[in-house]
Amino acid sequence: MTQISDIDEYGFKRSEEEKKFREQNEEYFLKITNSSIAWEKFISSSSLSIKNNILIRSYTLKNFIRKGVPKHLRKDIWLKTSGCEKQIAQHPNLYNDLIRNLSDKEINNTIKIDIPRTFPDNIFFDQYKVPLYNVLSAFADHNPIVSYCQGLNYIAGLLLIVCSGDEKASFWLLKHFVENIAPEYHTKTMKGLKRDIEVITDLIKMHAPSVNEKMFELSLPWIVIMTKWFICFFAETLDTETTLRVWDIMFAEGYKIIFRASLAIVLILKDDIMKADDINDLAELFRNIAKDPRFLNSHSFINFMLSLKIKRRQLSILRRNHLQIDDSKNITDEQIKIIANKSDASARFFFFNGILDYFSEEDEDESDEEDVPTVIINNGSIVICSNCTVLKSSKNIEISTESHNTEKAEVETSTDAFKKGTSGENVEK
Amino acid sequence: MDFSATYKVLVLGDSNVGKTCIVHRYCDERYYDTYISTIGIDFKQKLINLDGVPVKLQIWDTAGQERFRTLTTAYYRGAMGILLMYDVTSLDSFNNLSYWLRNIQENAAPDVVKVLAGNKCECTAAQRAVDKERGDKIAENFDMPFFEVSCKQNINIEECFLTLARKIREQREHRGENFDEEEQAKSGNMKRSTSNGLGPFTLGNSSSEGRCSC
Repeated sequence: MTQISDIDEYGFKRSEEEKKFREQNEEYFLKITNSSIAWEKFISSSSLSIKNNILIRSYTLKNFIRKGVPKHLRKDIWLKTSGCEKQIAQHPNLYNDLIRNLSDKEINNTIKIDIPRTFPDNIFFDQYKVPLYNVLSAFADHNPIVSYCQGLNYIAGLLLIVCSGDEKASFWLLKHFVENIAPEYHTKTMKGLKRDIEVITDLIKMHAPSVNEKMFELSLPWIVIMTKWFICFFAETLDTETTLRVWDIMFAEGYKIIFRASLAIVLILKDDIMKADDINDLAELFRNIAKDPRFLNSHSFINFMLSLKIKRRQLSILRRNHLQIDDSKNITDEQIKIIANKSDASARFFFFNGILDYFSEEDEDESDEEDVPTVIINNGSIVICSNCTVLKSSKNIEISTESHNTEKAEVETSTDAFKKGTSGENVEK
Repeated sequence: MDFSATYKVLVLGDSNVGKTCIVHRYCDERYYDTYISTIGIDFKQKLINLDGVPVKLQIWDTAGQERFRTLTTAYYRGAMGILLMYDVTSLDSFNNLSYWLRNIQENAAPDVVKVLAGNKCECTAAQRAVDKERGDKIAENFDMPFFEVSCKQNINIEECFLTLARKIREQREHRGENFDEEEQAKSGNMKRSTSNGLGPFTLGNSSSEGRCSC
């Protein structure tokens, strides 16, 4: 039997449960080693230097990523698949400029308070405390709408660990998470978070109605359990290895993974949830996910998660159903209907202020959706583009520091007439 | 054992005053030197013997950062008691009590029971930023029992929660209602107050006002 160390390769203390699991599942390490060898081969045989968007469209790469990226390759692969590498090339000095001009703002105190409260048990983390402060403070300056939200410390902290303290890479990956993958989760209103928790509740109702009823019966709303999952992208919920496996896929495939992973957790826990006597049992159950062999086994968890198919179309419809009243009042039902009809009932609405993760994603499960045009409501203007299009206008890519609400949104009714917007944004078809 | 009553308690206060710490100390009887920031809402339960009567204390531990208030206000209404906390080494956390009290007034039931706790009282004189007298004064003004507590040295933790539980019991007796009836009335109110009829699964609305200092 292999002797399992008390500390994992990322510096986190292993729970007794995890040690036991690893001792009994030596083949896990074998798989990791094999995967590492396969990756090396793959990298030397393929041209990873190929432009990002071409790279991501390779099925082979996608499958490799789904099987897990080796630790030492994560930073590079994440930067490529997320599109951050390209962004960094376009804005090479952004991070350095931010660090040079860090403002003295009230939120810095909140950040400071959270630094020692980030992974206090991690033996490597002392060296990352200053970088963590820098990354969070720079991001708060860069994106005043989000500024700093508790929970970002865990994301940035884990990114720094994976990127071996590379602040710039961690900053860009954090930015990608917060602005592209989970827009408006971390803002002051947390509108996106609340909407998406309603959406996952709908999905649970479809996949396991009894579980939802049970939670309702015991008066434990999903938002109590899932806020942390969504805000931290499963860091501090799943164990480190499984969290990073989910992130591998999330960087490559986008926001849908948040729903698939959440649904997977709930479905795996289904029987236990049904057996719970009270809210306390449930709280304990969800608190112990990181120690549960069903989740510690990253391979089986990821495979199960990927077996759950959720269509983008379905998510977009569910999201639309849960539009906050503030948003929907500015878009009439008539307009929504027109958009929906125009694009074969699959117009996708994204209420956020960054570029879509969508462009960096390809989903073989959804080839029927490949050429569906996408509607983006972006800083009060509307842009339509088709799947493979990358918006040229930097205005659409840059995070706006101004109001990001959709109050001024104007919806165009024909793909030909997408010139209007508020300032005539470029539209590509 | 059959628990005839469940008391719902909410722990509120600024970031880093020791909300999670006090809940751990009380429910798990443990103290750690380091704590991690709470995201959203957490929950613990303790079965207590309240002067011979078994009571289930449901304790909701909330995130301190203001933006999470948009998620937690939904729990204010169901709370029978609130443990409001500040940190005696942080003047800001004391000054923000007025923000929290206003928040409670706007979101919680009008007769919710409150107890005030000033944590980290084991600190040195040099570290202390808020004198006990100031705590006494604000507690008197708002009719709250007040304790200076130390999670680290386990000072007044039990007293704090027991006082809260006793006050909740007193108030229930005073109202002369039994638990079930009250629960029904409460859930009835909940339904009436939420226009979309989603009941307990409805999310709280964000409170629009900002913070002010005393």
